[in-house]
Amino acid sequence: MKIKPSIRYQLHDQRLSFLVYYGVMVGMILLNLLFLPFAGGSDLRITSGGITAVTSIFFFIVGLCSFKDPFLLGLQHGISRRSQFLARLASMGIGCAFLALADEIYTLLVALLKIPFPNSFFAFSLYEMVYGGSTGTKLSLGLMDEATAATSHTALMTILLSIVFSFFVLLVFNSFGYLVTTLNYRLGKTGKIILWCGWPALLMASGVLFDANPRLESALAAFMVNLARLCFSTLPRMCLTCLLLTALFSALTWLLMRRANAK
Amino acid sequence: MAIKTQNLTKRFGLVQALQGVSITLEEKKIYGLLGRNGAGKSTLLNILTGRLFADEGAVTIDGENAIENDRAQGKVFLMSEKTLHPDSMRVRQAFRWAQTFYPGFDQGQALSLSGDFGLSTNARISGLSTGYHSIFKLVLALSVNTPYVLLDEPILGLDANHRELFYKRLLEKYAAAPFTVVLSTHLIEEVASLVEDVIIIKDGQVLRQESRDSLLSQGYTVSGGAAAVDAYIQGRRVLGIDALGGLRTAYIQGSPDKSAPSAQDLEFGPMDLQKLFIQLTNS
Repeated sequence: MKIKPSIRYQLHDQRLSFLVYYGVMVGMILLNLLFLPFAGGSDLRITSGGITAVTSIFFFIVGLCSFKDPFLLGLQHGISRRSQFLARLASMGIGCAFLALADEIYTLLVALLKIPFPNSFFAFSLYEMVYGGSTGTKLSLGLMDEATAATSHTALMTILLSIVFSFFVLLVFNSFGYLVTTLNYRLGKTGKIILWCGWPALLMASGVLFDANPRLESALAAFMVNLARLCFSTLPRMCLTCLLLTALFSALTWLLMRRANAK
Repeated sequence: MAIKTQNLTKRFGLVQALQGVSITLEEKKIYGLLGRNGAGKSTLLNILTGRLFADEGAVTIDGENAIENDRAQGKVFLMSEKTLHPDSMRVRQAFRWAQTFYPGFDQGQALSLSGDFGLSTNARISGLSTGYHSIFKLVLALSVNTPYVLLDEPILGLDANHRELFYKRLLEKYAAAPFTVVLSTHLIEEVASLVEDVIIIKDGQVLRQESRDSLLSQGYTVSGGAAAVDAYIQGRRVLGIDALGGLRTAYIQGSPDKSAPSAQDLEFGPMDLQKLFIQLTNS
């Protein structure tokens, strides 16, 4: 089994994009710091709210770019599809853990800027923004002061839960991106046209259908709200949902990957 | 110890690429895999290395099932026409990764060979010319140190100097530590002296698999005036005839009969591999 070298390669393949991504994020904060003296006093509020939302999109795109090159390089070096898939799962897990941690560190670093610039910098993790009653929400509503938040046990728990939350969210986005790119690789020219023209056409057709049937639209909306409540109302539910979705996307990816040929 | 295939069959839509291909690639031998364009050579090599799946049939490497088997595939290296390395990768990075995946990869040798061929190790793979693409892959293949090295069109785009250097380095390496080499090429004359065994594929089927000497000893050429050649070939198994003006060269299966009355004004010669190949695969 060549799983370890395969994991190493896949992580190496993503390394540069991670560096660029966080480079841009840190660069934006530095740019804000640079322009802060010229921004006209203490009214300026720079808020970093839920970086994980942006990271999820980024990691979805990373997933989209993660199939072809490592797959072909793996075949060149005699690595079975099974080993490549297992390595992929491992590297995805490692990548998600790293990004979840990095997101939290980033959020904390931005929050630390409150010390020299008390009225300018605010930072909340996505977890804090999504699940009410957290430290971040209390802070944003003025129900808790910064000093209390920083020293409280709740703050530490919030950090840990934010990391867990980000990890599972990132898993879903990355595995979905990987599924899409694997499907795209497997499809022939006609299949690609049907897929990439079919989705927008289906959405437009759905829009027309809902316009014509408002009851259907409201029923579907109610169903979606209930489904979202069922799946995401608490952190454990959200984690379980993300895990199940990741398992589903990964299983579908494996079905596509196991018979993929070099193109 | 060998790579064996049994009844490999592969179809691409309406095209039957391989049909019941059964071959054996024994260890420490140099093979010539010959066939016309579209005969199925690349498909066969791609199936051996798991890049394509056969519709039917089996592949074993040293007795182990080769399909989706890392250990078995770790013994084989295929230099294919298509480069499977990422475009953005640099040559030296490709060497480093080859060492990661193949513990026997000799990076020192790869760098030395790169120097011999004038291949810049800092160059991006996507920026290499056709010839240097081939050289890059040849350097990998000659440094990887696996028991089986399959070379699909290894000299594509190489100038005469580089081709000669490649043959020289290949033979040096083979002499130092013999390994199995499969040369799939259209330049038959160039590899004729290198190969020990020949596999000829035609329309997805194995036409011949035997040693080069045995194949060539089964026939001979006879040249001379048209009338004399025509008289001599009567009743003999003629593989083909080349005609140039009043002169003819016939490729005949069997042993030469120099004592025959019709043989007096004729010249006899050994069978030429390329000529034999052309005659066998012309249809």
